[in-house]
Amino acid sequence: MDLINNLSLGFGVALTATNILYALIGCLLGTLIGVLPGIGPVATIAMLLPTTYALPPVSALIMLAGIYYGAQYGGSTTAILVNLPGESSSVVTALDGYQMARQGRAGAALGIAAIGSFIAGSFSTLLVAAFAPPLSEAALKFGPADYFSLMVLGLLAAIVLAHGSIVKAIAMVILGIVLGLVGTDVNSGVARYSFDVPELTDGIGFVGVAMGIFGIGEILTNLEQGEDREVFTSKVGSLLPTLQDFKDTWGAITRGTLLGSLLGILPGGGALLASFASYSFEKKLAGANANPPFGKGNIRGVAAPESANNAGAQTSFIPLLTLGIPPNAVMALMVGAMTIHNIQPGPQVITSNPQLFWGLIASMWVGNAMLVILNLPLIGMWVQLLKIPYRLLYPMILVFCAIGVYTVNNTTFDVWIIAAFGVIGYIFAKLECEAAPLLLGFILGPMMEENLRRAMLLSRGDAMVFLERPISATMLVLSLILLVILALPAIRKKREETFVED
Amino acid sequence: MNGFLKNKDLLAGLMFMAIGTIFVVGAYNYQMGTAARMGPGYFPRILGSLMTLLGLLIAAIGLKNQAQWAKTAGIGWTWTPVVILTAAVLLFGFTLPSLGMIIAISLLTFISGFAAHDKNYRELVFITVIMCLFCAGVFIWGLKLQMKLFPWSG
Repeated sequence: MDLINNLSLGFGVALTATNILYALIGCLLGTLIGVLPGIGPVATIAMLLPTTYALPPVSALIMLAGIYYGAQYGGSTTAILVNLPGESSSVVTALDGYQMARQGRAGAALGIAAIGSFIAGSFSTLLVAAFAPPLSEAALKFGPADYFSLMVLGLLAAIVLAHGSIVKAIAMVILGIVLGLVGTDVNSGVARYSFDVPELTDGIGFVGVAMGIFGIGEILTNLEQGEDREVFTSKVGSLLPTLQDFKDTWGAITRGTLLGSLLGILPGGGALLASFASYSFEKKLAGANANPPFGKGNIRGVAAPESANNAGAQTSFIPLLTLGIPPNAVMALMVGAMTIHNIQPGPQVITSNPQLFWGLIASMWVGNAMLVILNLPLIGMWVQLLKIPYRLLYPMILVFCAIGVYTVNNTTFDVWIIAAFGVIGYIFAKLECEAAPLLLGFILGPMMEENLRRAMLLSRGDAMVFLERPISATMLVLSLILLVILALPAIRKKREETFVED
Repeated sequence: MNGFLKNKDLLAGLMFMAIGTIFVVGAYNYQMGTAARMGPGYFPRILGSLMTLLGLLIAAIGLKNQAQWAKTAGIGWTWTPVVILTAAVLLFGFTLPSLGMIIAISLLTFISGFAAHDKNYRELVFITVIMCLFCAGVFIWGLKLQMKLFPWSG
């Protein structure tokens, strides 16, 4: 049994004292920023990347991964108790979770969210462990043309996630790609778009871009909207759901887990898409005679999306670990984390760094178990944190961003970058241009150009190579179908409805 | 005229057209190469053109819906926080290498705090002290980052 051998190797790595500690730090930080609205995993991981320099690569990745799935746990707490999504993937949890809280059943909602998350997390980690090795093997057969087409598909799929206009989202992806091209071209040694600024010949640091847009840009948007929070702390009630609750939700948890796992693997997928899709699926399945109706405190409306977002967070590691292609903005930062440690993400990681690969997977179990054990008793503490007003929170975020980005290269140039991208991020938000596709394009841009050049060189300039290779052709056909579906008026309307937040 | 400034699509489209054009024009400085041997200018030129076209499309959609946009409340830019935060971050960058972390962090925390509409000076002083202590503890003594603490430290 390869799987068992591999997993025991992984647990050997994940269960060392150091790595348990880093998983714990990651999970706690993830929960913290998950609970706090106004700061998400993208900004946090970007802030912490520089501090992981000193760590061994496995510990660094374990900690950063913990932040992502920890945030999924934390987000539900805020959604249920405050009716504010702590994380964007918890938007739908607030619909029924807050209603349950108002009916005095906050404890049951929190409990079922944590239990559902744990079941989903454990199952989807098993999926990662089972599917990653065969997929990596298949990925080794990918040629440059296949990679290029796969990235086209991935970027188009990322647009599914974007709010609002599809054309704007495509334009943002392209903007991300061209920004990624700034700097020295590896093939010719020409410094592109560097305007004789020496620092720009190394390219724009993606940590700065991510922090500027998702850290400072977010703050600027948040500062415009006054806040009013009503925290339901008085009556959390018993955290243990009743037997009836379990009976009501086991189906929803199972469906949420499966749907979430599937949507996490898809390029463009991840926690956000998973939670939205599974909520609407569950609602449709329950039909009109759901009791209580969805949106009025139905526990299935909490269980399904919370299971799904955790499952999706976990399985979105599959494309990263097997193909080296990040399916969402958080995974794009993980690529950065791996590159910092001189690990080229891709199908070779599993053979060249088995300890890292299996250690990371095993740590997800460890982390999920820690989150359930820690979070339920600590819920009172997290709720207290919600009482910190935003006017005190954002200067702290700003300081961490500024120091974090400075330490990447110990240069003030990166500080100018976050200042600039903070303003740019604000302008994007005001013009309703979503920034997540930009970050993906930014990470994938150089890889796309490299693979395009190589594919065209191999085919002696014949673009038909993209249609002649079966893998590449499949990806392109899928991209085309996706584009057509997205453009259909009926789907477009539906998609806009799904992403409407009130 | 004012009505056009409320049109988010029109403005976004113009923005993409401008950026796309910059990249296309810039690409002429680099060798185009052939399809088989792409030079450094090939990919940016294609993408820049594509972005300009998409920008045109977005702007056109915006113009088509101009009547609706004109009725909206407007984009509501609030530049004061943008200016305060940007100035605070820039000041941090200028002061950190020469004056050290404590002064840089104090300036950043305190000045950025002015951007909130419900600011409270006593709280701001408190949070500034906390941030200085925390960052010195974590980054200098904990993570041992190479950063100056005070103007006089080496």
